[in-house]
Amino acid sequence: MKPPTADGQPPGAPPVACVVAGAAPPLACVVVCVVVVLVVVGAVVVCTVVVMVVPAVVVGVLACVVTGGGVSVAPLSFEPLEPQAPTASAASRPSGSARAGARSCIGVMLASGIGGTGRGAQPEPVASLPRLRYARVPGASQWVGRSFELRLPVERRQGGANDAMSVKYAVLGLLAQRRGYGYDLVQRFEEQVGPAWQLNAGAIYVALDKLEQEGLVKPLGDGADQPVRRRTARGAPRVIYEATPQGLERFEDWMATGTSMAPLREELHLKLALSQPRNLARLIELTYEQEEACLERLEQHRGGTALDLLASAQPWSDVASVMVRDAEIAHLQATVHWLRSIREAMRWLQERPEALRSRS
Amino acid sequence: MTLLSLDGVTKRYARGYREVEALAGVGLEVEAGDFVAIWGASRSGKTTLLRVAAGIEAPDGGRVAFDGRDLAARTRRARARLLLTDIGCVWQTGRITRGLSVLDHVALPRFKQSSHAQARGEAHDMLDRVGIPQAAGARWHELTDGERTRVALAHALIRRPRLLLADEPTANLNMIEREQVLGVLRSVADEAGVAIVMTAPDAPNLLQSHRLMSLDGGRLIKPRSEQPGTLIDFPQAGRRAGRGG
Repeated sequence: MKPPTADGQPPGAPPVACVVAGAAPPLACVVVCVVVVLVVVGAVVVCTVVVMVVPAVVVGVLACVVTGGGVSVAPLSFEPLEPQAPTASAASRPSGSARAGARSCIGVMLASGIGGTGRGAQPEPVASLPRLRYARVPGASQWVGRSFELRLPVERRQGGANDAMSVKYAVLGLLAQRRGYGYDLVQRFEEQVGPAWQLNAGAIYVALDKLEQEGLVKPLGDGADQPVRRRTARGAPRVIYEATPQGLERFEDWMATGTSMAPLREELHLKLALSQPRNLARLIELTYEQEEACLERLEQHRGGTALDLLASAQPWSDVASVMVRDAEIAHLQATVHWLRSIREAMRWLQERPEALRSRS
Repeated sequence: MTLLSLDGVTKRYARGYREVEALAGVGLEVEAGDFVAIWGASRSGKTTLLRVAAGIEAPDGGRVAFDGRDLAARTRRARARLLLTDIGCVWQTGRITRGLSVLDHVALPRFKQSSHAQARGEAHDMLDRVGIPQAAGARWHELTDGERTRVALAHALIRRPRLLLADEPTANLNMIEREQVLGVLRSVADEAGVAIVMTAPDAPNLLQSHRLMSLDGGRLIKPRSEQPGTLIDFPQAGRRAGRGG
């Protein structure tokens, strides 16, 4: 190999790689980088167009065709609404209206002023309502919605997790009473807690798995560390669990801690909140239907109250179950009282059109 | 067999300058041995419903039939006789027959059929059953409200009616007394096959009954399989069209 020359250039014709790396390296690097970046950006743009714009256009065209051309698509353009204007009454038509497509939940929400567009003057920014994207175009006969999601504040969406947690401790508690297998636990839960919980039987098995992972329950061993598998009548395997000492301790801890309160979520509450004065007759009818449902559930709770049982020297487990059942009775009773009072208020308004007009 | 049937019964009252709709198309069928509890707030039409069912008041519209025969088709005298024999009533504003002791008042309906001693013996048993044996010798003004209701109940039951109409028989009673009265009503329905229509202002009193209904604004609300009501229904086609864009 020849020694390098004084200026650092190798002798002979330098290869391209050397030119790039040596003589004019910054310029070449920049050129290459720019080309690469342009190619990448171009690809992204093309992909975006293909993935988002094309389906949107296709779906829009289809919608126009399906609805007879009455729809013009203008996502995210908010027009001031006049709830009483004839074109805005998509949701206000009687439910027997021939225009089947004219009724939609989104229509109700817009008509009741959600998103700040219902009261006329200026369309307000919709930043307060994430992911609520819909638009109404003057003259169009349809509500056009793209995506719709009503988000509850985060702290109100923990019901599911709390339920699962409660069932977990309930399983632990049932196993603390005595050992048992999955279906036996489901039955004992139903018996002791009552039907009001509306237990999903699968949750018991999920809870058992979790508890076993945490070492709070264990399958009953036969001495050789093999779980005892008894067979059911149909031959399915059945694993009997028992609570471990850690499990019992955890259960005692849970008994000692405070309890959380579930949020009150009724569909009727939403309908009431999103309703308009014109819905009054239907709302009154809804209160009757809800009361029927309450009566139906009350009918499942025949028999005495916990106080009656206390008087008749029943075992504590019976008294406790009846106390839990009384909770639902009290809740249903309170619901019926509430239904009656709102019904009375709505009737009062219904009989006084002038009072109603000033509120619409 | 249907003992009492109400079909589309309406009743309106003039109350001052306003007209009150006490019953707005009430339909109810009660069979022998049925224990029907009607739950309603005050002014919901409970008492009117019972008075119309007893034939004391005529409905403005609709039909009330006892034992398959329209009450309106019977004479006034026949309706009054029904109230003395087949229909027993317990009203909130009961009175006992003037000048009689509680025991004689309760025994009164039996005096005609049996000897006085026997009737008084039955009256004693009946007072014992509803939980007020101590009231036998008392006069009306010495009784508490709860005792008065139970005297009326004993008076109504001793003639062995086929239908018992009880207007808030558990009012003014404490828990033990309430359970006792409801137990009597239930056993009378189950064992003697008496049809009972009872009203009450709150739910705990109603859970001993066979059937549970609610009365509000003159409308009888019966439980039925849950059907979630919809404010605005969503036709599938309309939904899809609305999703365009």
